[in-house]
Amino acid sequence: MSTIFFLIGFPLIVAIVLLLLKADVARDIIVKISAAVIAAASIYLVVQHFNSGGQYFDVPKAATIGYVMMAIEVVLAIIIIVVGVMKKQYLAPIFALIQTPLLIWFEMGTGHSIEVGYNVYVDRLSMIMVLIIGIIGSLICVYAIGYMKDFQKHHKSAPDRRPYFFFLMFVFLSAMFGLVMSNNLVWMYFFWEITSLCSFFLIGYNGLFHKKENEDKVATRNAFRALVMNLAGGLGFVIGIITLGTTYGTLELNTMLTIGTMGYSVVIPAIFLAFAGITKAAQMPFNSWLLGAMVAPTPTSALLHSSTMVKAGVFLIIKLAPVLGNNVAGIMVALVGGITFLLASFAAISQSNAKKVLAYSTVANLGLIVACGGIGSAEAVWAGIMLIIFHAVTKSLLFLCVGTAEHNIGSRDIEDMDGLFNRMPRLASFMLIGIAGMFLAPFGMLISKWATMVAFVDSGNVILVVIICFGSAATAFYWTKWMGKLSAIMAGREDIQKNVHREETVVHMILSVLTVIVCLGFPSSLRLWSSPICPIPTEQWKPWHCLRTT
Amino acid sequence: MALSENNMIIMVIMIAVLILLFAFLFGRTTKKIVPIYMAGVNTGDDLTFINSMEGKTEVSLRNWYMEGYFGEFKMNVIGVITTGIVIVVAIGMVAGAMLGGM
Repeated sequence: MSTIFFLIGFPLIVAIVLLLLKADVARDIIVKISAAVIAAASIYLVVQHFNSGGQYFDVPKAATIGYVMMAIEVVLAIIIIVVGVMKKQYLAPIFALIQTPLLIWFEMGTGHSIEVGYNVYVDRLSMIMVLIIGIIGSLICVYAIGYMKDFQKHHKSAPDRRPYFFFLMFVFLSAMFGLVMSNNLVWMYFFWEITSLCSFFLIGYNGLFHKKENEDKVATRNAFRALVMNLAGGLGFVIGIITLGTTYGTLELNTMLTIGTMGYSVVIPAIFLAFAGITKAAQMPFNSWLLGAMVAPTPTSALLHSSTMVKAGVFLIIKLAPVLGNNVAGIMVALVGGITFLLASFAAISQSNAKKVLAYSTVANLGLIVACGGIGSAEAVWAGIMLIIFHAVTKSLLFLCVGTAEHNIGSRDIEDMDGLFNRMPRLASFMLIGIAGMFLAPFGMLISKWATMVAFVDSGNVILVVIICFGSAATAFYWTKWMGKLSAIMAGREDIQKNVHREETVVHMILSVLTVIVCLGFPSSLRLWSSPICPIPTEQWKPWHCLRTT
Repeated sequence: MALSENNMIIMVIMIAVLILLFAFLFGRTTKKIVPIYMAGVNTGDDLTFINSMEGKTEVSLRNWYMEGYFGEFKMNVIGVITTGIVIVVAIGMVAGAMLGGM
């Protein structure tokens, strides 16, 4: 359990240190060392629990921690209200005013008498998420060192608020670790709201605390849109907690799943928690916040809006999958996911702004994962988990490549990326590996889409089968277009690669290698992400079991 | 697991073909390589040609974005309406059950 608290607490300490440091060199060293430590700790956690398959922990002084969380939530609500009124955006303060008092009323009342057995846990899915957050999240923070240096150069009139940027990134990592390892739904809600706020401040990086003449109004508007939609999801989360607590007298996720699979109906809390997952994962009708979030600096887009924060939303839905399925909640989730996948894939075809293509592609793939969760069968969950892993690695690589390209060729548009092999051969190769990883055989995404298709067919849901066929065909359109642009050799371009920071190249290289390794290594590592409902007991599992036909 | 044994074998074959393919791609050829003819006479570097006004034109590629069929606004409107209906109906049903049970 100490590893868990280390993973939650260490990034928090690093965040505070980084907030106070102004020197570039010191910041570089601290970020790189912390990234290595966080990655090592994540791998250590997985190694610790690999054989046991997971464990539930009773946390000492849980009540005190609960009160501290409540106090922080009140402070955060006040911050939202103040910033909202300052910027004359009133919807966010209204949501904060409804949500936080509601939760506190519940916690002080009924919630006070509910005994929570296990507050913190680790299981297979959490281990995978910990690896994603710890390895990919840390890599993105290292990338951000080089990227933010260029960002400052391009935005000379703005004050240097990089300490604040890195503070938010590391607080976010800490909150994500807490989210994926909380069994107590109130604790999970606390971390959930922190990630929403980090996203809000990061999207509004160029607009929220600037003077009027320097303020990027688009950034402020989009930041508030993201905050409002995520707060709406948070309200759903709170209603889910309250209904679960009052009907069944429990606040624990594992208890809820046990009750649900035993035959009692937990549809009511499940549908509200799934609604929270849907807003966080930017499914339609809430996808506009993710599209608007593309104004944020690219490390934010890579970390929050493609590999980690939105994965928290789908993580919750996949965790709820055993109780979704053939009920109202399951059908709603599956349909929303499927429709989002289809329409977002179509919309990406018409986009030429690279970050928008990536954003729509992210929304589409999340839709697919959400649909897998909605179906709820063991093989659908398995396919969904595979999608999560492969998508996180590949999409973050692509976002980081686009960020580097944007700073060096001056444009985010695909139409300006022709001849990239002449101008920046290394970057173009990484980008090509990323694009190939998203839709070509035998890279992971294709295998996961294959597994998803099998799962959809086996579920008997004809609409979803049609959706995945047409949606996957649409993805070939927009990736191939981009690939073709990259692969073209144009006349008269000089090599401008030397301007790329070393941190960015190293991170690209590591992520590209990860893309390939994760694909090649997938059969042997199946045991790590075997479905939570795997019929073979952990002790007897052998590698050839991944070739079973039943 | 979800992918049966046959599918796993297919995937392993795909990976093997990919690796072998790249192994065969490298090497020299004894065939004569000629300059490309584009929309005019090649100027020598396979990337520019002499156009009909005696000037040099660079080869360029453009993409087709099909804004009319797959435009962002249209897709978003359809998506928001359909998913909005799904969510409202589903939560409405659940809320009805909740309130009806009270």
